Amino acid sequence: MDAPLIQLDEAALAPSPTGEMALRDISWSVQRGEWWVVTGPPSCGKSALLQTLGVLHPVAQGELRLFGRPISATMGDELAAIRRGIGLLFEGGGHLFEHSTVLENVALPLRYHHDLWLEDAAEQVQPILEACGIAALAGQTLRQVGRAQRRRIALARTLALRPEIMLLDNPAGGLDPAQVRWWRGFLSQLHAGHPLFDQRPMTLVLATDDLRPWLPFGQQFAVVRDQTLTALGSREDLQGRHADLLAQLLADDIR
Amino acid sequence: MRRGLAVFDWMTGMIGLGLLRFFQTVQRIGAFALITLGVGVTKIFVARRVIYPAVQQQLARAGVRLLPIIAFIGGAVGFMIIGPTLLLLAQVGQVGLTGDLLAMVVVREVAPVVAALVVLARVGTATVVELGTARALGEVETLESLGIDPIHFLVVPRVIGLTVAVMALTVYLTLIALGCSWLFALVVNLPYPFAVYFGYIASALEWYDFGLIGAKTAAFGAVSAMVVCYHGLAQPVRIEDVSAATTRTVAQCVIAFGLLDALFLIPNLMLWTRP
Repeated sequence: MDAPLIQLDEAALAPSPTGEMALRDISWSVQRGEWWVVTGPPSCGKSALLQTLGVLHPVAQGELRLFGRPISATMGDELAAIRRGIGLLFEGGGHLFEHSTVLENVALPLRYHHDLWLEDAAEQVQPILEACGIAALAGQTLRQVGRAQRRRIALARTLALRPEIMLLDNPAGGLDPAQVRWWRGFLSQLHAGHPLFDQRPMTLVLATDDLRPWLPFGQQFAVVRDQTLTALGSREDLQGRHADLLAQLLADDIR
Repeated sequence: MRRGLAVFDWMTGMIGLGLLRFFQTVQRIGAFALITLGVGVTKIFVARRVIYPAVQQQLARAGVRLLPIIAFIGGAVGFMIIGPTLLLLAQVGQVGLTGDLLAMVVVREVAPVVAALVVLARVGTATVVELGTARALGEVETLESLGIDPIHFLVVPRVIGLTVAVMALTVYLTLIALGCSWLFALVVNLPYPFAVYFGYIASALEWYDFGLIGAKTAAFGAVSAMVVCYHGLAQPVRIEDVSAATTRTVAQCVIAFGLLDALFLIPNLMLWTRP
């Protein structure tokens, strides 16, 4: 069996600047091609967990291994290469450059890492824009674009570097049902192997406050509560062994 | 007596605290400057097609767009300060001092400081707001998540842009101020033919003056850029902190200009007073 793509050994996370709780005693691994759904109440530390996995914050204790390499012993170009292999979509999409066009926003990481002019990057980015349903917006500035589209632009920008792992922080939170359907369908395609990425199945870790939309789609489930992360297993495990917890989580969602 | 001692204690305590804070700030900005220098040098050929246009954009913003205001200030200095001074020199029969006076006051001192202050007021403050807001809205984290070095992408172009802008605008300000003062002399019929007037100034300047003025203006630009970027980017900033960061930046830059000016006075004095 291959080494896990993500491995946390007895890790404790530093408190996030946004005031989320610090998590501790996390031992968890993510294998290639898995789709994990991490749930828990708002501000319980899910975002901090994803940002730590995205190498934005160091672990306060324990060890984080990405692609089999311990992050604490990795630096420079090697760390940059690891970062490029991980796509992190922030809650709400993250910061976009308001004065730039949609195309310039999406092409930026590709241009930076491959030293390309916009015209050259545009050819490579066009299929991603089409897959995300925002090709028609390519020439528009961010001011002319709605909230749901902004989130897709952020997704397209993250996908431009063709990451192996996607970390998604509440991607469909606050969107209307049609948009949620699109996200579920698109992420399912990414997980199954999208033609954009040569049918290579992508590893997904999705954090959400609301488990219900993702219950039929996630492959593995985990919950963040009591300042730690507990892996619950597959959907069958969730509906069998953890049926009570599932009922509680869904009830929490409804509340 | 006891009350007087208490006041003295309080005053020395405040002065000590102020000095400590000052040196801490200098240390932090110095560390930030070293990191920026390291990134700028090691990544000089990285992402050129992204960074070089960003540098051009900063040059246009801090340099070209400020030309009208620099021309206006240069004109004002020439017509309203240097011109009347020339008139006064002529009235007291000290036309021979023209070159030394203008070289010392305008070329070496006023033009670099005024250019740096204009760039700080028009571009530096806007940059703190821009970077501080971007920081508060998560731009730095977003860039890092995309594997883009925020120092390379955000700071290096601004440091180059502000440094080159201050250097270039000093030259323009000097030329416009001197040109306008000559026009003033022409209008009021002072004994300054074009060649004589600029001959006075040229003869008062030594070769090392150009090196010192270049170094001084570069230092003004680079230091203001570092202070601006440090307050905008290097510290955790919330939206409501941005205005306070801007005020702090202006105050610290003005102090830095004063200290740098004093520092550059030392070699100037040594060179002027040599036998």
